[in-house]
Formats: sequence, structure tokens, C-alpha cells
Amino acid sequence: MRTKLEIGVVSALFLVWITITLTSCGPGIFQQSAANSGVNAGESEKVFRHRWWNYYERAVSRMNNGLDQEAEADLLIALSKRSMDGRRARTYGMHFTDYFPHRELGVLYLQQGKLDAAEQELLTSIKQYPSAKASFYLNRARQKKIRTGGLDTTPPRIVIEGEEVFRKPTNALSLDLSGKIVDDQFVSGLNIQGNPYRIEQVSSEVSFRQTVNLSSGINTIEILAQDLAGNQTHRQLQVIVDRQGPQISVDKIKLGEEQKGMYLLTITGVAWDRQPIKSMSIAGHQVHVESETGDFFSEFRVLASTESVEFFAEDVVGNQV
Amino acid sequence: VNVVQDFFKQNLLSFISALVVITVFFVPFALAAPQFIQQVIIGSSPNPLGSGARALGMGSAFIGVADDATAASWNPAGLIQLETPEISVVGSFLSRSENYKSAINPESDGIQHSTSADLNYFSAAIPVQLPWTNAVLSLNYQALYDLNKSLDYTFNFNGSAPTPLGIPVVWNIKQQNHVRQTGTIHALSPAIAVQITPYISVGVTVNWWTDRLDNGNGWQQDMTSIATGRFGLGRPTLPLSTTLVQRESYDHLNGLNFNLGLLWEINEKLRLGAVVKTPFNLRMRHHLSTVTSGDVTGRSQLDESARLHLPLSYGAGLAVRLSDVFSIAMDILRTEWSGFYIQSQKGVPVSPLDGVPMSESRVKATHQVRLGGEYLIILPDTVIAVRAGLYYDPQPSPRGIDNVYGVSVGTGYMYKNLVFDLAYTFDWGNSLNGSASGIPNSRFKLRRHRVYASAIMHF
Repeated sequence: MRTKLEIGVVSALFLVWITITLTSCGPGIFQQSAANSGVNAGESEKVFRHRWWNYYERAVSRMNNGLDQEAEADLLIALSKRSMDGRRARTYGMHFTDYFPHRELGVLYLQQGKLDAAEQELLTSIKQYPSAKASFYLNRARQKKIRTGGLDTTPPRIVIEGEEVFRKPTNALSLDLSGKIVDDQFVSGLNIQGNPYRIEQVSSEVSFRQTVNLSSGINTIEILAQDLAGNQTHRQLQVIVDRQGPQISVDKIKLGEEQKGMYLLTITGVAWDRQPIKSMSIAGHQVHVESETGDFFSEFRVLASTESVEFFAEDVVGNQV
Repeated sequence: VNVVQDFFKQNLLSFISALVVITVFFVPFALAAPQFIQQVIIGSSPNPLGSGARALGMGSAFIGVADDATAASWNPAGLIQLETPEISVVGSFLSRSENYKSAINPESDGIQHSTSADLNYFSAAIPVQLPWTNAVLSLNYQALYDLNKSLDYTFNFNGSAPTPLGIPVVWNIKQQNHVRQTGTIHALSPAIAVQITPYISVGVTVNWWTDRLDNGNGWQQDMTSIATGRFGLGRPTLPLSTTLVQRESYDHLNGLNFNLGLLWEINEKLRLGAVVKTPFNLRMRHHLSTVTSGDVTGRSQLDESARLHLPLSYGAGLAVRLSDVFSIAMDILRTEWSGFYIQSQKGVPVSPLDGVPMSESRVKATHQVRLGGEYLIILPDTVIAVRAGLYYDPQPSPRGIDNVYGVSVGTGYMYKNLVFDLAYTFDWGNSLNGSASGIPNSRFKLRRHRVYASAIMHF
């Protein structure tokens, strides 16, 4: 037999359960009360248990509501409990959250005009866990700092590695363009061929490497570098691309008297190319080509049964015919 | 007694036959259990089952962790850590083998094997905001005792006894016993956790042990005992064949107890938990029917109320989060087995372990020690957990304590708001008391495999 007491206790507990659940449900079920947390309703959508993530989430919420001082206080408390920025920080059980208190504090300081503090927090955030948002706001902070102080009037320098390679004609389909941008403050942007180049870490010296596709003829490579103060430097590189081999024109072929089954063959003509001709041969015999006129002359013996001879020429770029 | 008198009136051989049958059938049971109600087979372990694959994977070291929807069964104060509603469902599979060796009945030696699958746990938890503090409510269904068990064993009775005629009665009887026990004891458990200070929380789980919501709460034992052989005066020349069929069930369970929990979050890395599980009486109906057929016939029936008293247990657990990805935990739980007894309507409290009156019982308190760890592999879109644990899970025994050890491994996979956990545990003990299984003076080797699978959804 169930005792009345037991049934009564269980019934009462169920009643309490249902009452609490029903009275707690509704729009504010996860909102912390003003009495408990000291904030306005709607600022945080989750239960507040005084954990680092509670302070962090409330701080973000407060920032969005313009409560900068309260947000700063929350971020400082969060940082005192957990000081590392990062993604998927573990809260409880199998729950995780993105946690960037240094970054958010940096953004907050930037909004308040505390540029040194903002730069410091954003740098710390990037050092602990790089994020595009932190880089963006770090640039903003530094830009503001440089512009405010008039600290940078010199445009960045563009240094191309192995620049002499670009001055020589080539028959390549592409070239690796590499180098660095150097500024007395911070390099903020780089465009190659009109395309923005991703800068991982803003600094006074940014290295780059990119493959540039080439087409036949004259190729112009545009490089545009910019520093945080807005100073720009523009460079153009011209690369001549020649993918055609030399052209050979035969003016005269003369066949001499037969001697012992062989003929003396004399050939004169012109070999021409946009680039200097590196070498030429006829039926395996090296032929000298006049560099100015392209004229060539060759004389050698061939068998009486010979029906054809092979011409070969190569320019300095490597194109052959 | 009436049966014996009837047989005596008929003839002497019948009297002797009855004497033999009584000796064969009832003496062993009388030795093991002076009263019918005292014969309770509580599986290999009267320790409650754990809840949840995550906890089991960590070697059941969860009192200090208790940060998911199964917290109500480990440490209800841990529920306070839940910041979003969660529901969880846990299934379990159990395979147990017991290798018996009897000092006086070597013919009963052998491996007994049983398996079972069950819904282990179901819960729904929701955080709520009370005017003065945070709280979490949860409603839980938990299967706490698995009583599924099978036994098949044989006794050989070769002996003699003096008679008034001066010629001894001699018998060679073989008794084959088949026992099937099925059932679980589960509870419906509302729970609440309340945050007292930012770092200290308390909780209570109310375990309502009832079959009011379903009829599956309780257990049933079916036993068939077949005796065949020969007996006679001076020489065993007369054949004997008798079958005893006994069905015993315990149902209409009703009881109430509480899990009281405390959680102290000392700092971001360290948590200390404590739990007290209050003792309670599980009231129930006990039905027993026995039918004897063959050379000896008889029928008896018993319908009475009874109560199983489950003991007080209390413990503490420490959880250390060494980093976001690695945490370890340790629990110690003491159970006062002197408070574990069963009592019929008019009987005295007896030990369910061997049927001995509690005044004579030598059962001792046990201390479970559990260690576990969890390592997380955090990937961009998912989290994979690797868990392991080991534990000392002593069993109460009529003669003191039987040592049982266990190891566990587990894994978990989280995708978005779903978490799937899987755990495997292996328990072993090399010399456990087998009296409770009905084989007097026996010891057995225990090998128990358990697989738990959980699914938890966060909202």
C-alpha cells in the first residue's frame, strides 16, 4: 500500500515542478532578472551563473546595447577567470563557445579612443588566436593612431626579388612574382594585377609571393602597395613573352658535280626572329647566322640518294623551329 | 506436514519416498533460505546501475562532474550547470557470465550466462530563473537495478538415512534446476538543483519507485526443478520422478527516497561534489506458487506484502579540468549494506544475499572507488570524446565483501546540438559468494560486459 504521505509528497513535488516551469516559461525564461544580475532585461539571453562565459556573453550583449562601461567591467572579470582568446572554448559538459574577450575589449577601447590600449588588446587577441575581426580592428586602431599623430608620411617601398628576370624575354606561361613591401609604419594593403593580396599579419614589412600568368607579347604587371596612413606606391613590371620559333627563308640552293656518289650542296638564305638566334644547323651542320641581317650560308656534301635535308634553329628564349 | 502425513497413512514406501523428496527438494532450499520470501536473487550485484554512457565511459566517476542531463542520478546539484534545456535517452545492454565452483556439489559447477537490454535512462531538464536565484528542473526515468538472470545447474543426491525398520533408505537422485529471473526496478525521478552562491549549489532527486505508470516495475522468478533417480530400502531399486515448478514475483512496488547533492565549484578547474542517497523501504506484493507433480504431488500458494529495504549510501567526488580538452575525476561512495534486507508481512528482516536473519548477518559496508578521464578532440565542426576509467566495485557478501574490479572505455561524438555517447565496461571478480544463486557453498568468477549508448540533445 502506498502511504498517503508518499503520494502527497510526490504530488506536491509535481505541482511545484509544473508551477515553476509554467511561471518561468515565456519570453524571459532564460533572461536574467535585474535583481539578480543588475542589468536590464534583454541584455543576455542565457542563464547567468557568474562563469567566464556568462560575463563574456553579457559583455557582448551590453556592447551591442551601448553599455560600454558595464561591458568593460564584464570583460575584465571574464579575463580574470580565463585569459585566453580562442574558438570553441569549453564551458560545461559538451558545450563550447567562441571566446574573444581581448578582442572585444580592444574593440571597446577603440570605440572609446583608447588607441594604445586597443592596439595592445587586439595584438594579444591575434597572438592568442588570430581572427579576421581582430586584424580588422587592429588596422583601424593603428590607422587612427598614425593619422592622429601624423606619424607616417612616407609611402611604402616595393622590393621585387630577382627583378632582372622580368627584364629578359621569356616563353614561360607564368612567372613567380615575390618580394616584400616595406614601410616605416604598417603596410595595410597590396594589390597585384588588380587583385587584393591577403596579408596575414599587419606589420612594417610584408612578404608576398604570387604566380602571374603570362600571354604572348608585352605583359604589364601592376603592383600597388598602401600603408595604414593611406600612402600608396605603384610599380609596373613589363615582361616580354615570345613563344614563336625563328623563321627561315632559303634564297638559293645549288647542287655541285657528283664525286664518288656525293654532291656538294650550297644553301644561302635568311633566318629571322624577334629575339637573337642562338643556334642554327642544316642536316646536322652548324650554320653561322649574321646577327644584324640574319643571312646565313652553308656548304656541305650529301649523298646522291639524299632527298631532303633538315633545318633547325633556336632563339635565345628557347623557341625552336 | 500434511503432505507427509498423507503419505505416511498410505504406506511405508510412500513415506520413504516423501522423505527422500523432501530431503532432495526442501533441505537445500531450507539451508539457503529458511523462508520462501528470503530467496531473492538480485543478480550479481545489488549495486545500482549507473546512468548515461558518458558517465560510464569515465568509470562512473561522475559525482564531481555531473554536468549533463544524467546528473540527477549521480549528483542532482550538478544539474545547475545546465544552461540550456536538454533531453537525453540512454539504452543499455548487459552480458554476464558466472563460473561457479561448489565445494560440496561439484556437479553444479559451470558457467551461467545471461543477457539483457533495457532503457537505462530518460530525462528532460530545463533551467529556470527563480526570483532569487538560478535553478534547474529535470524529470528522469532511471532503471537502477537489473534483475535479469538465468541459472541452470544440477545437484546429485546420493545418500542414505536410517529408518525405524533398521534398514537404511538409500537414494541416488539427480536434481536439475532451471531458474529464470526477469525484471528491473526503476524509478520516476523529478529533480531540482538550486544555486545557493555563485559557486555552491544543492540539489535533490526524488526517486519515486512505483509501477503506477507502467506494469514493468518488479521482477519475476520462474524455477523448474526436476528430480529423477532411484531409491529403496537397503538398495536404490525403486524409480522416482518428481517435478517442482515455482513461480515467484515481486510487484506493485512503491517507495520513495531522495538523492541529496552538493556541488562546490572551487575554481575554474576544480569541482567537488557530494551525494547522499537516503535509505528507504520498497513496499511490494510477493506472490509465490509452487506445484509439485510426478511421484509426489502438492500445491501451495502464498500472497503477501513484503518490503525490501535499500541501504543508505553516500559519497564524494572530485573533478579536475586540466585543460579544455582533458579532465579527470575520482569518486568514493560508501554503502551501508547492513541496511539491506527484505522482510515479509510477518517475518523478521533477513538478508537478501543469503536469507540469514539480519541479526546474524555479517554483511559489511562497501566503498566504491572510481577513477575516470575524458579527452576531447575539438575539430572545426564537431567534437570527438575519448574516455576511460577504472573502478573498484565491491559487492556485499554474506561473509563480508567480494572484490569486483572494472575498466571502462567510451567515446562521444558531438554534431551541432546533438551528442552521441557510447561506453563499454568490463567487470570482473574471481571469487564471489554464490549462495544467493541457490548453490550452497559455492564461489564464482564474474565476468560482466556492459554497453551503454546515449543521445543527448541541447536546445
